Amino acid sequence: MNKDKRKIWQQPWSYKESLVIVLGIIIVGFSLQTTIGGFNFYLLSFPFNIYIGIGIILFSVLSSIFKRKAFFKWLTSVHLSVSLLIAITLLALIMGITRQEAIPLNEKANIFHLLGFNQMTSSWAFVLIYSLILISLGSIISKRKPAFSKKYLVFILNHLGLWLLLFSSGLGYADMNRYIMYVEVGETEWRVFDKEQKVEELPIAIQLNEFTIEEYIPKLAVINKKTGEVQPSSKPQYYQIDTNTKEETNLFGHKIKLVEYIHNAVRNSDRTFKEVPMKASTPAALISVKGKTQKTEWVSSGSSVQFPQSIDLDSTFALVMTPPETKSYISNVDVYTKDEEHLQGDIRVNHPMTIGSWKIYQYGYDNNMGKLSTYSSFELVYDPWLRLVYIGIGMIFLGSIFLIIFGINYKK
Amino acid sequence: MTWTNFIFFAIGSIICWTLASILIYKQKYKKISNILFLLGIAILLTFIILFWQNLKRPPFRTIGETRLWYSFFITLVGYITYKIWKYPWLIIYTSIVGIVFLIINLVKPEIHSQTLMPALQSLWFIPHVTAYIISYSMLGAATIAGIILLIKIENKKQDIKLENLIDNLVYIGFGFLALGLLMGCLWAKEAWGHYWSWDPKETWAFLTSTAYLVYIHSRLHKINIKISLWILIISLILLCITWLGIDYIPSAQSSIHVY
Repeated sequence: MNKDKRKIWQQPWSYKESLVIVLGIIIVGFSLQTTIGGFNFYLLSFPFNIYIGIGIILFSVLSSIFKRKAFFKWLTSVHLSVSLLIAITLLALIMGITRQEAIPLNEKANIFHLLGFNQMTSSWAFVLIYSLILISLGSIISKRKPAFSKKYLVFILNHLGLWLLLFSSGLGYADMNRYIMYVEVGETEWRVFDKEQKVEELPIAIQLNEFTIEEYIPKLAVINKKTGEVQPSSKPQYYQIDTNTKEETNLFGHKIKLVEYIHNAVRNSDRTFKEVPMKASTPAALISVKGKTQKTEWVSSGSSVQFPQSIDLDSTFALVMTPPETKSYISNVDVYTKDEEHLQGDIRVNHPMTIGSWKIYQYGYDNNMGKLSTYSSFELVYDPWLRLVYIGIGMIFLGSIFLIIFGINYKK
Repeated sequence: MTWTNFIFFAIGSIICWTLASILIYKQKYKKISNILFLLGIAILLTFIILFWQNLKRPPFRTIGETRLWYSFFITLVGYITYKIWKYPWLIIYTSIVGIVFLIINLVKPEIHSQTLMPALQSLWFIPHVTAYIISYSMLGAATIAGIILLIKIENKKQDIKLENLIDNLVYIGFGFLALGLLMGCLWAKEAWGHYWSWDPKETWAFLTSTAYLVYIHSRLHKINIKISLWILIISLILLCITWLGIDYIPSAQSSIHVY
């Protein structure tokens, strides 16, 4: 390591200089933050993001032309890359251990708030490092001579993919809009709430034809009638009703066995249940209990319009059915746009509907009413940059598969 | 097959792996050691398959279930790398890690319900979690090798082959890590409307990936390898926090990924 005897700031710059400069940029970021406050992402909305994007691309091309100049050599060096990666890791680490939220109204801003730790992604330090990564990465990509080799293929997929992803998600953020729309069953709606809870009218209308909820088969548990605690209180025990096996099980000292299960049940006048497929129905099970007392009775979790029913085990404990968990909720809709597009179909969680640059998501329903909810809510997302993001993701995806196949040997 | 039967399978695998580790350095019993090690993996896999059938949903949901897969994949990865690189200690170390995770599941089994909330009912669910678990196994194995190399360097010994093994494991492990992360993005877009929202778990996943990128890039210019190895160890600590520690970070309590 004899050649490492050069003084700091003597060209070519190495780790020392890179780390000092990156640290300097972070300090500049913190100073800006304390004097003028956080970075406003909406300054980047169209067309300003396009101008900045073109600027970054031009700069990257420029740096490939002047790649022999010391400064550009350093800009595309591994030393700067590693330093920037360390910086972004540390900033994300701060973000990972700090609560990300606006300052609560009843609290005074402390030093961490002033430095922007609580809203890291819009803090100047983060934005500056992010931008420098974009510039450095862009220059690295444009400097490298294209070649038909495994090495270049893996390099370009991973680096250009990442650049596209960072570029389009960062610069496109301000152009993305998200709205919430509430639609009553049988109605058509085009008014939505925006991020600030203001009402807006969209060029899209949704007609909700039907809203259905499917529920899982519930569980059984023993509770203390006075406290309502599931027993044993140190480690609550639940028994998942299984309509296939009907095995006898031991639940907190009581032998229980399923005799009959009705998923959509309505109570008769005498504490028994019958099957009625309607929205107000509740799950119910006929259970035989062997313990201090022997009995065969109905237990039910109840719904928003039917009372729950438990089985008394003794003076303190009772067998209850837990409220069923939601399996899926589905909205059958007709969607119309101003351009006279029309789509008909189901929207449910994980299955959004795409229409133009819009995506429509199942958002929620009236939780208190459950199956009887009279409305369904949707999230409408408009993101014109999404295609670029997906191209970036696709490239890194391929690049990662090559990394897995070749390992370190891709360089040979 | 339910969680109550787990103890029989776990003990079977633990016995196989322990015997395999004891015998691996004895030239005469090398073959038997290999067979025992594979048998341990097979026993665990049998349990996972039967358990899956009984649950009627993929066993990828709770931390306990992912630990099951971790034991399976770390031993599998250990065996494959052992076959390629011929380091017997790989068998011993991956056995120990696999056994530790089985024991944690025996001592602290978590409640395994059959229900799967709507957001988890997705095509991305299985490949997303599988990619992560394989990646964790690879990067875990790489770190073990890293610690061994650090000890060798302290004793003034060089081992280029081992350096290569570590880099290889990190490259492949990082490939899987990136796949897991990207599939998470695509899934999030379908389920929640945005591919990235800086939720605490996402932030931690991000910084774990960048930490590994620091390692990978630090190796390009061959700086003092001791520094790189320490970066590798720190990266694994960050990875463990992302995977297991998020639940204990006060700022992350609002995360939708706390389970």
